[in-house]
Amino acid sequence: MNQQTTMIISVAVVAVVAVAAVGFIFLGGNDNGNGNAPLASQLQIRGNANDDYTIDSKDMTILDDIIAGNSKLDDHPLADVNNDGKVDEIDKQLLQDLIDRKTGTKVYVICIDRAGKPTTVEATYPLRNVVTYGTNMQMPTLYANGGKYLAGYFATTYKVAEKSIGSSATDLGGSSRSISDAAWANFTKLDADKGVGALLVDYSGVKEINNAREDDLNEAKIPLIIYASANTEDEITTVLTLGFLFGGDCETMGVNYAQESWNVLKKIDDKVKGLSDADRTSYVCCTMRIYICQNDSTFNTSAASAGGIPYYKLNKEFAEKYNGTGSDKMTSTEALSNFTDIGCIINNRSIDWGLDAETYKKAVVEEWTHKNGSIPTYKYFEGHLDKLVFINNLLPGAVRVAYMAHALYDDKFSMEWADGILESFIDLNTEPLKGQTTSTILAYLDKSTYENAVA
Amino acid sequence: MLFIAMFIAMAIAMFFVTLGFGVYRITVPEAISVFFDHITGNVTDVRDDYYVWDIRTPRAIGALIIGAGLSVAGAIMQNDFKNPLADPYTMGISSGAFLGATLSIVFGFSILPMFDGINATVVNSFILSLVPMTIILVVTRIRKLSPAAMILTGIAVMFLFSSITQIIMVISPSEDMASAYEWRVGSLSSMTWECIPIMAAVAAIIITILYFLSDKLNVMYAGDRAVQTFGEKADVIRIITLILVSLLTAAMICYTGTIGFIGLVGPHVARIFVGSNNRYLIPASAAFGSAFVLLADTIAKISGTNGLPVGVICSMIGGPMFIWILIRQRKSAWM
Amino acid sequence: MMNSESGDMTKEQMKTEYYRSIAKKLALLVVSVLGIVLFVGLLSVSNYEGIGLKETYEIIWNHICGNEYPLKSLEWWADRYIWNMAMPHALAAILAGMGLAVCGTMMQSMMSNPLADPYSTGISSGACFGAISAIIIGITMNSMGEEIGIVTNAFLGAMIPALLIVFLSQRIHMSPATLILLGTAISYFFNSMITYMMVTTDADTLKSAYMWQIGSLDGIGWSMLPIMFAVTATGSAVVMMVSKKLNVLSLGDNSAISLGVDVQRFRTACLILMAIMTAAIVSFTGIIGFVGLVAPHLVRMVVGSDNKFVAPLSMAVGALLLLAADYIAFQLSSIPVGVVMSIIGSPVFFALIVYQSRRPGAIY
Repeated sequence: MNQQTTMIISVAVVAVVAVAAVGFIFLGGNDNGNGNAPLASQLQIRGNANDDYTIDSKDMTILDDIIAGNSKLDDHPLADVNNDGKVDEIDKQLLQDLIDRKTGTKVYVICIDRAGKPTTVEATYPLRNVVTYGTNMQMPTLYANGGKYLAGYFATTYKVAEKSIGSSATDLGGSSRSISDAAWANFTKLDADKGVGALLVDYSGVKEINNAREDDLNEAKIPLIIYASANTEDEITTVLTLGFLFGGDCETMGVNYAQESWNVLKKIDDKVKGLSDADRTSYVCCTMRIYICQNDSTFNTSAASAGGIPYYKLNKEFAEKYNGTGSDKMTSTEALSNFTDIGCIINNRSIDWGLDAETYKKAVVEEWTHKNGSIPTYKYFEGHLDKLVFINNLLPGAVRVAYMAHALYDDKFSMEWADGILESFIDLNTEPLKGQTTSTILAYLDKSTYENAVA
Repeated sequence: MLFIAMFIAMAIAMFFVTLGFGVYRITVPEAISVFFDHITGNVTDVRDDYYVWDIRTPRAIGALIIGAGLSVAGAIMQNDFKNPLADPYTMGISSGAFLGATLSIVFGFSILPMFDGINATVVNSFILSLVPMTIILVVTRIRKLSPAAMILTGIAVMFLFSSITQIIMVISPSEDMASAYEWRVGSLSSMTWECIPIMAAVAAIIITILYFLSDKLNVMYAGDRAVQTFGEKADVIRIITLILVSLLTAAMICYTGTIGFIGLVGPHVARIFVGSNNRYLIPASAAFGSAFVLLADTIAKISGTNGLPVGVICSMIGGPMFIWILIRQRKSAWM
Repeated sequence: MMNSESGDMTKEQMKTEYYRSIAKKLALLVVSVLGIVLFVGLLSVSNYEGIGLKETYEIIWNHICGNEYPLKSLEWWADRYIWNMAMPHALAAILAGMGLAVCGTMMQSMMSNPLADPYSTGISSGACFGAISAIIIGITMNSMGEEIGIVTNAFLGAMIPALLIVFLSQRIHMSPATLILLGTAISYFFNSMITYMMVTTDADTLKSAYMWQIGSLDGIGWSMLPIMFAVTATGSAVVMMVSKKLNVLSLGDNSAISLGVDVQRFRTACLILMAIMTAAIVSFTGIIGFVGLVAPHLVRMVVGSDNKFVAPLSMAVGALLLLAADYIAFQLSSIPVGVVMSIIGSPVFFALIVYQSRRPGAIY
């Protein structure tokens, strides 16, 4: 019986998470009267019974309703605060503690497991002494101002963007692509010294958490929180949830960040939703300069939020060639030569910020002319150079989408508008962007940027 | 002579055929007419002209030169070591070149700092590819190595270099590692017009010198007794030709990566048709090698999503070919 | 080599000489065993400040006695780390080192070639082919998940060249030189397919395939050790039993035949044994090079070339060598043991070649 209920609930949770991932579920009863977009990301915490962006007394009402029999758990799967398959006084007590943001409360976080399936992980509120693995996890943590709560990290790649990682955080000595046994030993040592509050892992790096390491985590009761946050909408949810878990000013930051992000997405959606498929600009995404993203890669889904239509939907030959979820390296400069009607090529690049005029210029030239083997990047895009843009992948997802929207429809979204979005995120005071301006961050570059830099 | 003419005809035919292959869609006759249009100076379609003249023509010429250079290098090596399985890389040249290329691909390091980017890869791999040869020559002078021992020393030097390369490979990010690996396999996709003059000049000069040495090489090949009557000069010729072969090989592979098996397959096939006389073997190897690489590159261009490195095709043809040679030459031993 | 100048020695001198050689052998054995114990401790000690060598042995002892530490304390983690990572690591290094070294000894005697090693017949390339097809294409010969899939594939892949050679040796006469050439040919064939798979995959997969190829003990767990242990123990015992025959074989085929050894059959049997041992090891660890080549040579330098002593002592030295390399690799964090082994091994190999060429024919 109990097992069955658990199953039903987990199915329901899957459904909720799936819907969240699809995004744009505009919730009723939005209490922001100032033209803000509804926050379509739900907080991925059990107890958030009404699927909104925070935990408050409204959630308690739902719990009361369920206990009174006026409402069903199936409709509000997150009302089961302690994930035991039923709603009772214990859940109410836990929820009350969460509403009071009481230190030491058990909090049940919804994330994915190593196989990519939704799961619930038990952690302690507020989350402290976390360890992050993977750039796509590290950046959201820092955007939620969680840098000060980082006890360790396996690798940092971007000096300026990741500078808010506290100086007390330990470098565990892995790399951005692997956690060696030695690095793992350092991790366990860190737990013995300080006690690790949680290990936050980006799904792309989940292979590094093998069975033995998961056993370690289970035995030592270290929560393993995995998110797949390469996609913009998932990234917003991740920042929101992590912000809540860190608590205090991080929670505020998480909500503000999510709010700002959804405002951008809403604005873009408002302007492009009327477009027919024929009127939409087609795009091809690239990564690592000369790798073409395959049809179902996360880069393609992100660019869809900017209102474009992926090129593979228009061109059968392309669709067949680049079928998959990864990316495919261009092994010849002719790779794109037959696809003359691509509307826009979005090249996703991670470029650290904190640039001055000189280094900015250098970075622009480097992106455009970087030698891949022996051939400069732009050579691969011969015939597409007017449509080629580079977008900085370290930026908040919504900022990236804003620049993509500009690249796709520069009549609707001006460069100034996109820069404005970046400025508004800088104004949020999120730590990675602190002290930066639009001229210290190489957010976006196209042919004219390159020509200006060379001139 | 007939066979040499036949090989040359094959190479020329393949040269024009390969212009019509690649991702960009154009038929072979069209491509050939675009090629001649460019030479006669009336370009009709700019895109066609770009892909045929700017991308494919240097690539085809590169294939031609590489094929000729490495095949001749292989022929000389097999002659010098009297070993049918020797090839231009037997002395460890490839491992030195690979280390050089990896240094610049992964760390952006340049041995001669005035070069960067492509030039760094080319310069590094050229310079380091000559180091194994130097080591072997030094050891040979001290220890008086027999040809067989020289081959073994070559293998040992190769291990030395590849162990260093391995460290760099394992600590490098995946993409750099993939680029380095691809360099090792060897590809012609980076051939541009800028590479051609140096390659062509080096190949032409060295192959010509080797051709004029062919009588002496023949005597050396004749065997131990002949060498004895020939006296100490056999060693001198061997060392001179080895140095020439190293320079030739280094100048080729520093632009393309270490494409394998050409130096093994080219001379073998040529030898079947023209015999072991270097006077005929050298031109025949050159011509056949060119045709072979052009063919392999044509196959490479049309396979995979947007083309494979030519080295893969060469190894898929060359690997079984090696086994075949082995079965034919079962009686001869490596050591 | 030390007995070679025993032209006209007195009985006394011969006696001292005899004792000295016994002492040398014992000393080498004791040094190796002590070294192994030391490195097991060192491997376990790394990275936990406050847990020194002494505490490490203490923890190991306590674990054996069944004492437990408070959850998440430094000792608790150290204990867990020692038993789940360091011990399997160390034991795998010991087993692999022993197995590969004994296979190397056997190969070198059997082929009468000082430069032969367990991979000379192309086993490594077959194993690589199997493992890499599992990693890249995901073709596995069983459905028990990726890690096991790679292991079984590598094992089956390694069996292809072995079976091929055994099959061919029934038909044609196989001199040692032919065997090695055939091995080279087989590895060229597999390498061309490996290259094809490697260049058509994405960068990350390429890297993991490459890392497998180099050989690493990372990720080895207790579950993998029984097989390695069983195969290595049985195989080594057999090698030691036939060590006299190996001595005869290393004199060359003709002498062996005249001494009544059925060379063909004996060599085939040795090849099968060696193939199984090597395959059982490399399918767990990847292609760790040079152990099988260097360890027997180091031993021969000290004790001469009687396989009765070389085989067991190579095992000890091989284990020590790989364990030490693993320790260094561990200290360097993200460097796999295979790389360290080739850094150590390639200069030794170079020295061997140069040394050999001075006195062609025999090394010692």
